[in-house]
Amino acid sequence: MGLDDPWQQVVSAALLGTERQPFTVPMVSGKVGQLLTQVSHLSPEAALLTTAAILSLHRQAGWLPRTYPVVAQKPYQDDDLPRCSPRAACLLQQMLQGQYTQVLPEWLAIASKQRQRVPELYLPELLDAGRQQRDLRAAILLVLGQRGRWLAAQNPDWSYAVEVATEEDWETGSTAARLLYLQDLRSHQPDRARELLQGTWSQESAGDRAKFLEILRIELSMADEPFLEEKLGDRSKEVRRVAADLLANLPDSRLCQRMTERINALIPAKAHQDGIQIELPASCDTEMLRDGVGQSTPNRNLGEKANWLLQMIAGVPLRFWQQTFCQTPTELVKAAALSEWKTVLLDGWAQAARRHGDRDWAAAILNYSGKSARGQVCVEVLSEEQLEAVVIHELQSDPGQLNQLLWILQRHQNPWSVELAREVMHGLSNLVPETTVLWQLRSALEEFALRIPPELITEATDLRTTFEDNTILNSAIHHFLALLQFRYDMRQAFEQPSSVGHSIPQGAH
Amino acid sequence: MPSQWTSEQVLALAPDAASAKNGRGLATLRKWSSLGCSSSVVWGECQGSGNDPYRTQIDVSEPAFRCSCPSRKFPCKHGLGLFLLLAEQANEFAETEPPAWVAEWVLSRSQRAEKQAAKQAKQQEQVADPTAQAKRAAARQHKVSLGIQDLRLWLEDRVRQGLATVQQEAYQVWDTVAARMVDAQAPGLARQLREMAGLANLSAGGHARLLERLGQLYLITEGFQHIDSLPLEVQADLRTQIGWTVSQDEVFNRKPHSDLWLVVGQRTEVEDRLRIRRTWLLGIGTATFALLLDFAHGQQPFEHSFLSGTCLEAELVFYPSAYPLRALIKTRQEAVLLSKQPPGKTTIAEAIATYSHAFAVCPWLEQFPLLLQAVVPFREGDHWLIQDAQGAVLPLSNRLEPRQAWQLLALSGGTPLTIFGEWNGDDLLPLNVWMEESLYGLG
Repeated sequence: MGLDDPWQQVVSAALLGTERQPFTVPMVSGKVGQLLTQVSHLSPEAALLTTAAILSLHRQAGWLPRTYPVVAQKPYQDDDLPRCSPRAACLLQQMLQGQYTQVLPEWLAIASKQRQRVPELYLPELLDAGRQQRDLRAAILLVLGQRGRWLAAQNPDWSYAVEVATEEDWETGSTAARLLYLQDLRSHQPDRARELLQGTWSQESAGDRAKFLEILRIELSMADEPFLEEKLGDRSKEVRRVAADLLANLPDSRLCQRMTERINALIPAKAHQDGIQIELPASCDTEMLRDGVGQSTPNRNLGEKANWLLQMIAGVPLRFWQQTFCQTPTELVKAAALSEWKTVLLDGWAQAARRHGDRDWAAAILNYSGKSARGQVCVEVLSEEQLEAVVIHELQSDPGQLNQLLWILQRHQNPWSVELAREVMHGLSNLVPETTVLWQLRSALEEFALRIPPELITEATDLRTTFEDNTILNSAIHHFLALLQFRYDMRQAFEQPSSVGHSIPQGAH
Repeated sequence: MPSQWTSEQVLALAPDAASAKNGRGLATLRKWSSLGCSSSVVWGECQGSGNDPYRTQIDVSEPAFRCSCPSRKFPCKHGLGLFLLLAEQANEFAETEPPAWVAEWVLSRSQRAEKQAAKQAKQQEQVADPTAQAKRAAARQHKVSLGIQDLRLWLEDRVRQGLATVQQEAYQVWDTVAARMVDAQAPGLARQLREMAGLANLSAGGHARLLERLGQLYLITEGFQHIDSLPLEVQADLRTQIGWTVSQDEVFNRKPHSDLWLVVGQRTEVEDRLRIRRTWLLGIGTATFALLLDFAHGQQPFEHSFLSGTCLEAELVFYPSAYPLRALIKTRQEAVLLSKQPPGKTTIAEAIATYSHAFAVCPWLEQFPLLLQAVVPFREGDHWLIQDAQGAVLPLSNRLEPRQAWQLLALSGGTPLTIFGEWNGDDLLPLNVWMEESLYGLG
């Protein structure tokens, strides 16, 4: 559109004003032109306004849509997962809008277990949620269905949900995408993942190397040992730390052997009969430094040498102690308690138990240490069954001591057994309010509501009367019950057929 | 009772976001007792914070709500919760004899309908004093013509001085002339002038857009000066633009159009404290669109509720216009649900041709109903568009929130869907979408 365009001529004239320049009606052909000739006898202002009206209406009435080439649509694959039920979708939407958000991981877990997907309408909000909460991403990927992944590919904000499916992406993708790919590959083909990392190691930036190496923690095995041993000599301190830590998780690694030899040298020859005796290392040589000793201070209450000793013990396979002293873990813990280096031994063993997932040792140390930093390390090692057994045992002997067990229960991140849930609820109704740390219990209640099997909702409702007179816990119990109720509704919603509400209706009655 | 409603349809009835949220919280069986249904009425008792439960009932045929709670929201959270429960777990509502409190409501509703019909008939018989009426009309006509002469002078002054400086002007320049139009009993002109004041601040293309509006306003004044020589419908459109209202009784006397009317879209906008709701209907038999306008002040509820995707068997009467769209419901039967795809098959070119025709006979159309089958939404930079199988594209309105645009794309998945929306000559604001026999609201 240039100055020849009659509409532009009118706009220019209007901007300038008729007092500066008299208005001349533009020449237009056709019927509009005929209409415009009738305007010329009017005053310049009236002529300008009328011309503007005629031309703009003519333009708008004659407007035609643009045409783009039609891009042939790839026929949509119909073999997508079935949608979840409308009721389940409605509860999902409630969570995405900020209510009961704690339950979202459970919703995602049920949906993926039932192999159902999120209905189209809720995909944008769900993908946004995953953008903000990284820990949800893995679960979200499983319920997006083909439609969701297609959608995610259209928006750069949702790139995390786009499948990194081939090794080509390993060469070219973003760091985040490559980490995800390596993680995924490592859980299926651990050797292939390590080889891939080995191949590009020298091109990786110093910052990324430690992150990639950390992924080898998944499915860690002796096959990784030569690669990790080599990385003990890496230029980056962080890479050396990760490598040493991973090697200490492998009882048969050369690092563990070296640690064992070092410790063996520190045990006096005659010590084996009368309790546990051990000496402090005199110095930390370069070999020890290379194996990660002295690079950090695990316990600030101990001296430098005691910390070296602790780090070495943490790298020694626990079977060494059983073989050397011919005692069970429980006996060894008892003996260590009498030792001069009690803290060093027990902390070191607790770390070794966590590294090797040794539940017997963890249980023995927990039994002795109770609620402490060391005890918490041990609780992480225990199996669900062991954890539950500890708590159930304690509660059965004294239901009132629920308070003292909260820290263990809060470690139990998985759904509880019916038996444990019943014991805990029994414990709740037997609480002595005067001895209770209320704020702690209040936050624990919220976690309980996420772990108790929802089918116990009716039994749980009885708790309302227990706390009727306690103003602080009363509201917490209501919140607890509401959460449990929400989870109950959610379970029910997933039992509904996934097609309800989409059938073709036949009139209202 | 079998339910055909979706949660989205029900939640679209919520007066605000808080009610929707609370209603959803109540849509769980444990909150309710004595659920039941009988013909088109459902009811239940909801335990609230008080001793007595709230008694909630819905006549789903309209839908109409009643609840014993003190809330001023309408429908209240209990009404929404009960309706959601019906939508999601319909088999929990057993067909049974209604309890007394329900039966009484049903009876009072049927009596009220009869009373209203009687009142309407009576009003139509009453004829106001014709001489006084004619005198009042003549007085207004005179006032308006004086106002319009002033407006013409003002408009001519604008273009004499030029529009280049319009951006530096105070809002008052517009407000003063708008106030003059209110005094002259021409509120329609006042509204347009106030809209233009907002336009004057736009930068790119703002002057051209302003000139369009000024020209069209001038055209109204021009038309008014020889209004008696124009066809009756054009006269009616001009008078509507200036701000005359047609009384409902007058409209009710016009020829009724009986059809099965499908609710295809709904949108509520707020002007000052007045809420204005546009409900678009499509006559299945005649393929005619109709627009119902409802007004409510502040938090007041609208008198009627309409569910998108439902069909009303009704007689409509249209307001006079060269392109009649605005209508009133004269008589209606119970609602019947139809959430299947609406009938017809229209390309973008055909839809725009219909608009062009309508615009040519009535250039004052602000929102025009477009029902487009088989269009695919897509994104181009920051803009959203739709395309039909012939390749024609229409831009979507930037009033569509990003979340809604992405929902549209998610529903489509790159495949065609049906969209109903409002076309304003520049862009389309989608209100409802149909995909695989299901209706989704974006309004």
